[in-house]
Formats: sequence, C-alpha cells, structure tokens
Amino acid sequence: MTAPIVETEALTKAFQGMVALDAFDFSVGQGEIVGLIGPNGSGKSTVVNLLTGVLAPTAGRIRVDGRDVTGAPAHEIARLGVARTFQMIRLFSSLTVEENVVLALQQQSGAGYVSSFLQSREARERRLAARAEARETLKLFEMDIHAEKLATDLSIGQQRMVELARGLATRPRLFILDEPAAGLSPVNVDRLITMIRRMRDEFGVTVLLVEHVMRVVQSVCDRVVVLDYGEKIADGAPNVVVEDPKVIEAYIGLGRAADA
Amino acid sequence: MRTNLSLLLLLAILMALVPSVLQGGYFVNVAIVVCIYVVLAASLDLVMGWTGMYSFAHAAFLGVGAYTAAILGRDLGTSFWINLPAGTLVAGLFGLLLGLPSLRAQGHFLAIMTIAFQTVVYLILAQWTDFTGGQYGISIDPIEGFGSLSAYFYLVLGVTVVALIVIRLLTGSRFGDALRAVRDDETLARTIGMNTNAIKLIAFAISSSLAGAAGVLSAYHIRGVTPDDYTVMTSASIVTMVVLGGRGRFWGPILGAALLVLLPELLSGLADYKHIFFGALLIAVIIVAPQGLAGTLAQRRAK
Repeated sequence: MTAPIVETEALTKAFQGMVALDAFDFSVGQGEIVGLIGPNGSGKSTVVNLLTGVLAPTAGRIRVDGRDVTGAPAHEIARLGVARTFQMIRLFSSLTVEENVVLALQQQSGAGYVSSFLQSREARERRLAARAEARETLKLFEMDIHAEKLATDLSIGQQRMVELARGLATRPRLFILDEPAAGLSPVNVDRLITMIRRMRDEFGVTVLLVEHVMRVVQSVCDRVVVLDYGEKIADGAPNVVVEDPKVIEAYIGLGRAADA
Repeated sequence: MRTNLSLLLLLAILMALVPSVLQGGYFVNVAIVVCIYVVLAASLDLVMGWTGMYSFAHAAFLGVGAYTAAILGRDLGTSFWINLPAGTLVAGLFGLLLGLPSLRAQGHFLAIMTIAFQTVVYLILAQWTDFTGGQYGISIDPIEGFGSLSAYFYLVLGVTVVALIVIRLLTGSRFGDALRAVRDDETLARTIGMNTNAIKLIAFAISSSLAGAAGVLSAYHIRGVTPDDYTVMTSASIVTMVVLGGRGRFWGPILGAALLVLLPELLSGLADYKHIFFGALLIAVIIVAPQGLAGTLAQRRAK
C-alpha cells in the first residue's frame, strides 16, 4: 500500500455517553477502493461524518494527505480534496443539474468573489471553463442530456449519477460514497459498479465505499473494513472478510461464531 | 442580467420625470418613500429570499443608519456626505452582530431572535435619552445644495439605483450562487467546500448596511429621527413587501415595496388600518401565491 490519503488514529465519537465509534484505526491508501461495511447502527455514517468534518470527534486524530485535520470545519476538509455523496441524496434543489456540478467546481477553481462581482473577464472565462468541465463529466455518467433540468426533477438513479458527477468533477483525492446503491434498481447498481471502477482506473480517484449491498462491495473493493458496535472487527480482502466468523456473527448473530 | 439593468435604468429615468410631470410636493414625497422602501425590501431579500433566513429586524438597521447620521450631525457637525457612508458602515457592523445567531439557529428560531434584536435596538433608541434624544429624537438640518424637495429626490433616486445595481451584481455573481446554496442545503454547501458561516455573516452585513443607507436617506427626508419609525411593525411591513413581490427575485421586492407604499396612498381610507391590511395580505399571499407576484408571473411565463 502506498502513502495513505486518509488515516485515523484511535478515532472516537460519543453522543452524550453513547459511544458510536470506539478507537477506530484505519487508513485508505492512494488509488485504493476500500469498502466500509457493518450492520445498521455500527457507526459507518459516523465515520463518514467525522472524515468529512460534518461532526467533530470526541477523541483521536484524522489525517488527510499527512495533514492533521482533526476538528477542522467541513469546508476546509472539502478543499483538501475530500468529496462525498450522501445516503439520502443531496443536490441543490433550485439549481439545474449542470449548475449543481458547476457550483462544486467553482469552489476549487472559481474566480474570486470580488472578481466575479465585477464580472471580470477572468471570472467569465473560468465560469465557462467550469461549465465545459461539468458537461464533460455529466456526459461520462450519461447525464448530459439532463443538464438543463432541475436536479430534483430527475429519478433517484439519475440523481445518484449527478451526485457522483458532482464529486468526480472536482477530481477529489478521496471520494467517499455513502450507500450509493441504496434505492437503485439492479440495472442501475450494475452501472454504479462500472462507474466506481472507472473513477479509480481512469481518473485515479481513491474511493471509500460505505455500502450495504454486498454485490457492490464484493465486486469493486480491494479491501473491506467491517464495523460492529463502533468497533473494527475485520480488515482485509473481501472474500476473506465475508468468511470471517466474527463478521458472520455480527451480521447473523445467533452465536454461530462460537461454534465455528 | 443586461435586460434587468436596462429596464432598471429606464424605470429610473421615468421616475426622474415625477417632479416635472406631477406638480406638487405630495407626489415627490411619495416617490422618495417608494425609493427608500425599494432599497429596504431589496436589501432584506438578500438574507430572506436568497439565503432563506427570515429577519424581522430590518427596521432596526434602518434606525441604526438614521441615528448614526443624526448623532454624528449633532455631535460632530458632519455633513450628509460623511453621514451616508458612516450610517451604511455602522448598520453593516450591527448586521454582523445579528448574523452571529444565524450561525447556530435556523428557521423559526432565528426569526424569533431577529425580533428580539429588533426590540432591543428599539428600546435603546427610545430609552437612552442622553444619547438618542429618547422619544423626542434628534432633528437634522437639510443638506446644503439639496434643500429643494426635487433635488433631494434625485439624490435618493441615485442612491437607490446604485444600491439596486450592487444587489443585481451580487446576486448574479458567485456570491449569489453561494447564497442560494446555503438556502437550498447548508450541509451540502459546506461539504463542497463553501465557508457557509462567512457567507451568512457577509450576507447579513451587506443587507443591513444597505438598510442603514436607506435609514440615512429617510432621516434627511423627514429632517429628523424618532424611535417609533423603527419598530417591529416597520420590519414586518418590509417582510410583507418582499413576500408579496416575490422572494429571491430581482423585481420581486421592488414591485412589493412600490405596491405597498402606493396602495395606502391611493386608498386613503386604508392608511389608518395599514398594518391590519398588510397582515391579512401577508397571510393571503403565502396561501395563494407563495412565490409572490414576480414568482407567479415568472411561472406563468414558463408554462
């Protein structure tokens, strides 16, 4: 594994005494596709929210690209190149599909607010460049035909693709996908699998995939980390991890692991 | 964007004809009040329509601007040309102060805090007699060279046009995108790298500073300040103008302000029951046309 893009050290989050995540050590290396799985309430979403700065940790450290970002606000972490999608899809509802992507792009490479206010030539050129870039990325997801529509007028599957395009357009160092297969039809799940692979293979994007749908996890992940009750119980290749008695116990319960 | 600004200039030229076409001070006075409320409604819309933060404290900034001008004039003898930027600036600083709770509270809770802020400012203006003149207020001398009503009207019209152009440019720029993003989904805005706290504070500061400028203009118009011009009733009227006209649209607040200043003038019997009428109108608009007049027109045209 090459130098880690993101690394956590004894990361802990407690909600008024309820420990959602307990001393979690983990890392994602450059170019990896890592799956994060676990039963409901095991702390997966907490990990995502901590890594993206939406929540601040109770204890422990987070490093992005070797830089300590523990407790940093979400927008700073985003500017370091951490993009994400949401379990419940989030898109700006009063903006078109294209504008949604352009807005994300402008955070990275937009003209300054003042130069944009003065409608400088540079600001206009950068905006045009961002639009071209957005179209290009939307095309990749076959969403360019919907570019002018309001984001909320699309189906769930299409909205999911727009979310992925929004993230990919900014060429993130790390792209966190929070249950991207939730609510997708089998056809769209296949498409999702293809797109996750392409993002890594063609664009070199490192992916952290939080997912319930095992078909997705097993077909795209290089490595899988399993959480149960806020603790890491397994970390390894997908086919090894699913055979791990502790993982089986966490998912199925019934004390089968004890007999195994 | 271009068409909006051309239309605005055309309208300003038409307005400029008011003193020569409609004889008599009455019409000019009404035109001045229309301009002042247009600035108020359009600036409130920056936080209310564009950013989605309801504020019932806009009249407080109107008051802060007006009192800054009056107190500077009284104590330091400064002229209008210093008082206008000073009133704008001080109101902007107070706006930052009101912006602080917006970093923690949202929706109804924020709206309630703005009412509290409005009340505190009013009480200070009314009770701190040594500094603000209490209920008697402070009188203001006319501006040299703008003594005549029509000359002052041109000045007010000029400031109004400048304020509207600033608002148009702001909302059409990346800053406008950021305001909409905060309104639509603040968490998402942060996640794509937007410093939403800074954006909300700046929105409040700019919105309030423009209200402060309107306050200076109105203080020189009525040649003085008294606390009762800056109550929550005035704030609620400005909110009604924005909602009636259409939130988050350039022409919405302009239309709403013009209508709600002119209606009580046209139906003189209405003047006494103005606030009752405004209240009923606010409820009716929210039920029948929540997007306001401008929004409903735009939707019609889209179909």
